[in-house]
Amino acid sequence: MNKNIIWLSLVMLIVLLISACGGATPTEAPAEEVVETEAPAEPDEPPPAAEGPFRVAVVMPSPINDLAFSQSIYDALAAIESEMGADNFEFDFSEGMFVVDDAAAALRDYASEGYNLVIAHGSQYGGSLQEIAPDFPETSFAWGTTVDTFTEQGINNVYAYEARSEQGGYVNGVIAASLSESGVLGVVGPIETGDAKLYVDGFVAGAQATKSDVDVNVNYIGSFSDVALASAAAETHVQAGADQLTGTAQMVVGAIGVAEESGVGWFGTQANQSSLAPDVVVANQVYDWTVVLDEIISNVKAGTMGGEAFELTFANGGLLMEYNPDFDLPADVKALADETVAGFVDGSIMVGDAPPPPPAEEAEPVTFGMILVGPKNDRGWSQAHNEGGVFVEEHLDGARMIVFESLNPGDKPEATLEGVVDDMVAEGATLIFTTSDEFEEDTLGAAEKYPDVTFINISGDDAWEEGEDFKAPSNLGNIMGKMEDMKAIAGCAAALQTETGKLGYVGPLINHETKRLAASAYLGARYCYDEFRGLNPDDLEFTVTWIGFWFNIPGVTLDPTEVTNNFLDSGADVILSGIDTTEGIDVTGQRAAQGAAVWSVPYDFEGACDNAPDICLGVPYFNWGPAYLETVTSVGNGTWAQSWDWNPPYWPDLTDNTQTAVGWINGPGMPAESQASLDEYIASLASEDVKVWTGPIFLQDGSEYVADGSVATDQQIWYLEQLLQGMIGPSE
Amino acid sequence: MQAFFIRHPKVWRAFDILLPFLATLAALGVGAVMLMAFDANPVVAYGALLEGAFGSTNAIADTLVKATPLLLVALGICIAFRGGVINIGGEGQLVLGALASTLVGLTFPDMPGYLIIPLALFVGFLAGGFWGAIPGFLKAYFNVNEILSTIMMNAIAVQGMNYLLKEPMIDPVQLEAASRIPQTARLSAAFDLPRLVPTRLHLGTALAIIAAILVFIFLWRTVVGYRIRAVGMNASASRYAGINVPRNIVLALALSGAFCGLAGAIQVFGLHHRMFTDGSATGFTGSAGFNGIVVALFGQLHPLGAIPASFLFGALIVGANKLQRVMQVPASFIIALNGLVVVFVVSADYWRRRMARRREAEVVSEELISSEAEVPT
Amino acid sequence: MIAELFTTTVLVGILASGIRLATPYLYASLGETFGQKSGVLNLGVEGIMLLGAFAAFYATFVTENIWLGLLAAIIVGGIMGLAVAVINVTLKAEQGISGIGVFLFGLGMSELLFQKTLGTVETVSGFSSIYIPFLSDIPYIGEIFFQQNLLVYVAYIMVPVSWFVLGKTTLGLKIRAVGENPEAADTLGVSVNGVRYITQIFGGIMSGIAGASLSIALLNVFQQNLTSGLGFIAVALVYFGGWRPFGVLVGSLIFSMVNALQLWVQVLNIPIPADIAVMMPYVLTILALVIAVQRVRPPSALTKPYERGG
Repeated sequence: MNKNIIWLSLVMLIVLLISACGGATPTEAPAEEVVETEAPAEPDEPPPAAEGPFRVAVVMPSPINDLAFSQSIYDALAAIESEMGADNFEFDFSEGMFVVDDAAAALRDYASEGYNLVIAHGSQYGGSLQEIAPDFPETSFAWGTTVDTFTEQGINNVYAYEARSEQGGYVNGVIAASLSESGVLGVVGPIETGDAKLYVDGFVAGAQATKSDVDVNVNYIGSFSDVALASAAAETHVQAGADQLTGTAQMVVGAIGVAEESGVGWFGTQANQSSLAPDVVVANQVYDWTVVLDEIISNVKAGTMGGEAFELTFANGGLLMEYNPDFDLPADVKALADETVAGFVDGSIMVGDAPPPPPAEEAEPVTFGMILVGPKNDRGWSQAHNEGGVFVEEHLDGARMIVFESLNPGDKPEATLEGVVDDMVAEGATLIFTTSDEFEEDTLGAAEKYPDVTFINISGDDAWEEGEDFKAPSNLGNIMGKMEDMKAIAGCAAALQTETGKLGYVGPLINHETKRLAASAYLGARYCYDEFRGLNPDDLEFTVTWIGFWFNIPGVTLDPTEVTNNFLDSGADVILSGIDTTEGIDVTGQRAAQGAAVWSVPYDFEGACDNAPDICLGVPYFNWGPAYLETVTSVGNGTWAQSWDWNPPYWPDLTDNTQTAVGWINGPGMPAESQASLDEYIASLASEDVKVWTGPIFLQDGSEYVADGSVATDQQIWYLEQLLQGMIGPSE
Repeated sequence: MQAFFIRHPKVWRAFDILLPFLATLAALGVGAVMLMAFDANPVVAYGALLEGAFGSTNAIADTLVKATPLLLVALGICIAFRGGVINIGGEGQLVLGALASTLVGLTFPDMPGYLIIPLALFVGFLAGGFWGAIPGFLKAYFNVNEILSTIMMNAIAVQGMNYLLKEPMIDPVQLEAASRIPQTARLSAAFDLPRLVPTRLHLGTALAIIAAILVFIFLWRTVVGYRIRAVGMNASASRYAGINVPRNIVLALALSGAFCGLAGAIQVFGLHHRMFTDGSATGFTGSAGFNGIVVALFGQLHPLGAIPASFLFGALIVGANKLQRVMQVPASFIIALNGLVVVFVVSADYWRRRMARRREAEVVSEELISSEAEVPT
Repeated sequence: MIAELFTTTVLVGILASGIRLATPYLYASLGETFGQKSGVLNLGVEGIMLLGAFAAFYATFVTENIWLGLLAAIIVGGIMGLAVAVINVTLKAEQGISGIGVFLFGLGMSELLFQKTLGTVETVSGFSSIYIPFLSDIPYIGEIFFQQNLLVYVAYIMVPVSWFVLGKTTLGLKIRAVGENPEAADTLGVSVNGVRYITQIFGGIMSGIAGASLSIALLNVFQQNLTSGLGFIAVALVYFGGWRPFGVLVGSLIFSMVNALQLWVQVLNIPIPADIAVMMPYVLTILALVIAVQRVRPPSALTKPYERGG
């Protein structure tokens, strides 16, 4: 027997190998790439192309011909296809996916194949979708039937849709109660949940509103498929005296037969069931999902990926009452029904305990503090934070920002972080951003002092569990943008443009952050000097001068104007800035105006090129808005949890300030051919073909830091101790 | 031909192993005819099936994820079969294990994962065992046939699940919504079974394989396991030998249910991170309670044989879903194909047994007595 | 509130519904009883029922003739019974498992054919109720027993017929012999496999009719998974009935009536959660078994393929 097992395993292995080779796409993802990313590895396919047909995939629990739930969405998609034409719209489906983990696999598969919109048509798929959607930010999802779009969980690419089936249920109930002579109505339902529950609740409400003494007997048979039991349930209703019946879900076809045999009225929902029993079907509530789908599709086309809940109502035409032409409905009852529908349309009738779908952002009004190290209009670091706060105020109703600027010993020697925090808390702030590395220690103290207030220290690492300095209380988090890639682009731009081979880097003070950013610029410069210009990167002279603080404090720091002048005088022709303010580009611009062939790459603020556009090679900048909005939203609805976020750029569009945490804006001073090379470099970073921190990398003291062929870890990058070999300038 | 096999034991052993594969191929052949009947190219279709099951890292991971509950259920089935009872109650036991383990996760949301995950899996194991022990008890002491009682227990478990998820265990968020989706809150992320590589593949797969080895050791290397097998082979002889037959029947079904319960718990903690219902058991179990029986047979009712068998079956299911996506063949084709595979595989066993008899008749030699007939001393 | 259950309306309703609901169980269980008596477990009844239900429905839909529909169910059921015999008797497959295969095949195939032919839910006019003269006019009794359709009457007639065939005829004797002691039967010249083929084909036909009783008599529709687990219950009822036709009758009636009862529990607003009410038939079936049928022994050779000389 044991030997058999070995044989069996061997055969399995062979089958596996053969099929792996035979499988269409050879996997391009080598092992190290898989290790690097945290997200599930589905990198095979490119994101959806802008041109070509709009592609939709739908996963549904029952077959497409169930004359109920699944058929309703299938018919809607087919209608949209015939309306838009096969050239502009195509859809694929997986039916009969009642096994939820199979459905999840299908959703994941569709998403990875680049469909524009993937629909999970079943309330039981929600849990799976919640796990899948964040892995495919490029794909839009829709989930029905529900009102939950997961925005509270920070997911922004899911739409929700629901039929307000209680409305049609109510109308059916009104008609049924009017027609009933026995005063007894019967309802056959599957299990008491979702769409079925809404419909049944509406039916009961409508019937009782019409005749207060009407008896509505409700029977949930515990199954979506047991036709025989549905039939027996209908029989029971008839025996109990019911003379009007209704029911929902696909197994009710059994009940319709009983209605016909017993000659009692039948009310349908989800689809028009008149053909099944032409003598007794009175009216049907019919779903037209095209109303919702059209809206979702046009939203996705316009670039909004999700976050909104849609519903079918009588008012928007998504719900329709279809009457059986063969059934002679008395004119006064028909008039009453029409009146009821009109009541729903104009809002005079409301039904049930169904609340309206919550607005996309359900946050409580949040007051948040923003403590800046420099002035809020410094056209650099502090201004970027201030604009992030303004972004939050614009996008979140009720959000209010309190700003305190220039908290530094030079400008306001008497002010302390603790004092500022005291004031802000007194003013009602429940969340405070301390936007400098300088504030790291004091923020820790403030967080301990105010455990009910959430603190976010920018650029710190106290809340990094895997970091070297994890000690933050649970109400303190860190946010930082992954500026390193942008700095590498800056370095690349400089290397592409330099004629003297000498680059000057105006650095602020010396810490881990500033060292790794300068080093990133150097690595980008080396790569491009070699790759695009074919020159020896070792010849590149990259000098860093630290001024001693984030910006010029006369008498305390070196003067960045002077530093820049010195660089230019000593032959450097591209000045990179690493400080919060714009002296680098200002001075370089003046020199260029005097006829010198010099260029500059400013830093921090996206508008910085405006100071001297002709010599600006581009600008790397922070964009705090999206991260701040997420933080304020989650604090508002109570879902914030401590984290250390090192947010990556949004590679498809580095200037999309609704998405990206760090950005790069091309400079007007960059010649076209150099720009082409720079674009190529950016694309290779985006595709991860090139990684900035790829070995071999040596430190200034000559020791190997990253081995040849491997990539530095987050910790190695974050905690860089020295500048790199080849860079000129102090590390301490 | 047969004489050739008999003279070359290695060849017929390979033939034994290949038999299920040949049977599967034959079933796929019949499926190909069906595909052609509705104008689908079988080559393209089965290509899609293979690609769906093995075509990428993710596909293989999905296959393994699918295989995990199948393997655990199959282990339970192995124990039951070896103990001479049939357990058709896997579906209900999966549900019970899942519910109980979810309850543990919901009760202690703030405890660390390294405490709760083992506890929850163990509770799931116990709950499944409890649900299996009931039919065992009824069979051992009341002579109630276990096929009947396990079928009934499945239905009871499903309705109990529907009740619990609609009322006591429902996600508080859903309680406020009008539509009340019957599911629990998501379990704390700290309780997610670790992912093995960045795909859906989780630690549960490794646990299942370890479980297979443990079950093998249990059945063939321990006295308790030996007793269960003895009762399964010959109940009256065992009774004569002083083995407590009723107790071992209960034990066999309880253990069988326990592994199904563990499968349910692992589905929750590894995959879904919550419990939910679509009104039936299948939505959650994916019919693993039934398919696991087939897997067990495929693996020749041997715990280690169930490992590759579950992998193959997982591949078939995962690949078949891909087939539906690529070719848009109806889902029902895949169910029918699944049925054909089962029938063909179970029927093909005939030739293996026939060959074995011929061998034993013609060559009586020590090496031909399979190790499973040996009894540890 | 419980007292409301004991009104005439409710009791008559439960009895009438129970009798109708029991019909498919009766056909399937009686057929299965023959099979198990001869030593073969066919767990695939559900799949055969589905195929029979579809065949009957489709034939009736196309020809508008219920008799052709019934014939189609019989033929399809017979063919499936033959297939089961080949698998379980000739190829000696593990019966608990082959049945699952047959079930899955029937489930998928019936739905596939449904999608490829009809494509959507339709209705037919099937067997209609026959009011037995005079008897159907008796108060209550008439409503309960004598206002049913033909297939319901036939199902109940099959009970004594089965009892007679199994208990009082040579064929019945052979079936029992083959199920209890195939070696002895073989020695006496009874073809063990031959008898088992007959019972399996008969069982298939009965399952086919059980399906037809749903699709063209009780429900008059076909839908994917129309039977929804009914076939498995039918197999369980054979055990419940102790392999005796009248036992099967009792089991089918109890199960169906408890099911009808739980529907009434909900209709009468008795405060029991619906899901718990739906559980009742299953719980009560198990309890009934514990109390009632402890001493019945299954046929000795059940699930054991016959090996001559083995």
